Amino acid sequence: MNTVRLHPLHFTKFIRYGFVLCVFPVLRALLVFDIAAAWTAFTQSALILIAVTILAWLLWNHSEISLDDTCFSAMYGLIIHRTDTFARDRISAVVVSRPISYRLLGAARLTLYFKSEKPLASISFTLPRAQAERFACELLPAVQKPSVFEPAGFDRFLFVMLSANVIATSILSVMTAYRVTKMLGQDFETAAITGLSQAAELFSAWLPAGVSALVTLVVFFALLSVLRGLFSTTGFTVSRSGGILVCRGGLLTKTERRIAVSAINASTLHITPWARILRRYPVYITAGGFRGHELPLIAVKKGDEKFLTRILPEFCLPEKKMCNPRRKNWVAYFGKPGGVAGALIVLWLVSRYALPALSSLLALLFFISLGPVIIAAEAFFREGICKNTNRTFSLSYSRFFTRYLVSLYTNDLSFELKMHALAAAEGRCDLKVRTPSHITYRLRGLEYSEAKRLKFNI
Amino acid sequence: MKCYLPVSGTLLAVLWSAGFSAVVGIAVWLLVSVFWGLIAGFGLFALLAVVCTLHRIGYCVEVRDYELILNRGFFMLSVQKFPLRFVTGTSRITTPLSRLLGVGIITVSTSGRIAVLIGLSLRDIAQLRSFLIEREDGL
Repeated sequence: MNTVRLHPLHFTKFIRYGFVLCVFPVLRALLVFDIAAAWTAFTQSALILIAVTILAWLLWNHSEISLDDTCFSAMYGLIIHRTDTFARDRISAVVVSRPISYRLLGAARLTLYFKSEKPLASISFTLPRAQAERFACELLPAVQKPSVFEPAGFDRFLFVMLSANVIATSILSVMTAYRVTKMLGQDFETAAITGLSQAAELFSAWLPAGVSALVTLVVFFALLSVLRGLFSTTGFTVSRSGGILVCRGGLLTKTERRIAVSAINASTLHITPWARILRRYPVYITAGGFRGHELPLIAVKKGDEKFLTRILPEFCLPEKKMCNPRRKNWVAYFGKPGGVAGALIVLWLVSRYALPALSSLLALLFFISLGPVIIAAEAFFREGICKNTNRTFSLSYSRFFTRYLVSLYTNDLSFELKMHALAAAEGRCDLKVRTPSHITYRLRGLEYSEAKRLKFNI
Repeated sequence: MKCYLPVSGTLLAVLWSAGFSAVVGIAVWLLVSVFWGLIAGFGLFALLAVVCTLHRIGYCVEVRDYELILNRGFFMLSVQKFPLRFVTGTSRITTPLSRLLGVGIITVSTSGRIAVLIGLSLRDIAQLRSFLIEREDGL
């Protein structure tokens, strides 16, 4: 049995408020170069710092992680001792991540994901780096093999563009700026807004005022997300060793993901507008509690989707027609996006007489809103589900600007057919497919008789 | 195996609706007035009683071809299917009122969701549970 202690960094979540109480007044004084005030703040909070350090040491001393042939155990707690034990065969994925702060202190975060989300989807520990890597190797052993996917040159550029997640990056950066402002007392928010306003002034030379502000914001967050994608995909490789997929990469945060192929529930091709232009589709996989939504596993070329079988042998494109568009109700597809586009065009028409300054912004928003309408038209003909000869399910659905092509490799699913009285009379239903990862896929307007005939594999 | 909802199962849901409506009615009475409290209580009870009764008209639980199939709903028909292989557990819940009526609640868990079936007869619940537990043991 291997037994190690957790890294002291693991306990910062328990002592961080005490730590913040001590360190940030000192840091604030240092940022304005007031050494005397920094020394005063330090001497005042020395007692708290000592108490917090002793507490962290006691917690560290009473922690233990052990691994044997059948299970993984974690013991921690000072007054109340807690021991968590997990069966090794319940583990679907192991991720070892090393942010810069962790690397400086010789630590790594080990996250275990489980095949079933009940009672736990995942659990994380901070361990010394060598121990974390050793545990990952023992839990999901993989031999070093040649990479199946290692983007370089132009492929690397395309992969960076595909993995950039503008929405997630923008939310993250706004929250980070807010927290930093709150903690350090420096007004980063105002500085950021001033910088963006100056950039908007540059754009306003070519664009109307409202549009230039929106374009500035979009360009800023897009560049930030591309930068984040660039750092996340540095040295990105994917290899397969037996039944384990190993995915490594990252510059600021080095990440190694090990996923048991047998535990993979689904793979999803994200066909975004950007992916259509670049003719490359990013592929995300889910394995129990592991959702893998931060970074795609691989990017496949359009027309070369079979390349994915080198990593996921059961993958196949839909072999049959997935839906019957003649039986579908167009309101279910065009109702929301059409309603938004209609509202925007009406607002634009009104603004031409009432508020001309807003006209160009509303016109731009209207053209953007046509995107979901076009995607809805595509979904009207393509959204559906079919069972393939290799006993996997393929389904396709669309949301906003993206079409998703999902392959389901597990039979641990549940189907729910829902229809109101009118739809029932027309032989039409909505189908919800639920997976063990607690992801629900909703398909609209399927033929009831076909959906009812869908069978699980025995 | 196929089981339908007995009348006492519907009655159980209606009585629970009555209890809930009474609580809401008392809250409105205390906050507003007796008149509005009575309106709220009886109105809510009437609505819930009709909805519960209609919802349970086509209620049916079926075990067929290694699948558990649940048919429910009136305004919004719902057919749920689970593979029996992946049922992870079941539990039976009874209250004094439900025992008086000879019905109970059974929950069926899989990895992805839990199905809660309210108002099946105790005999049907026992039969369904023994069937599901036998399947688990058999695996």
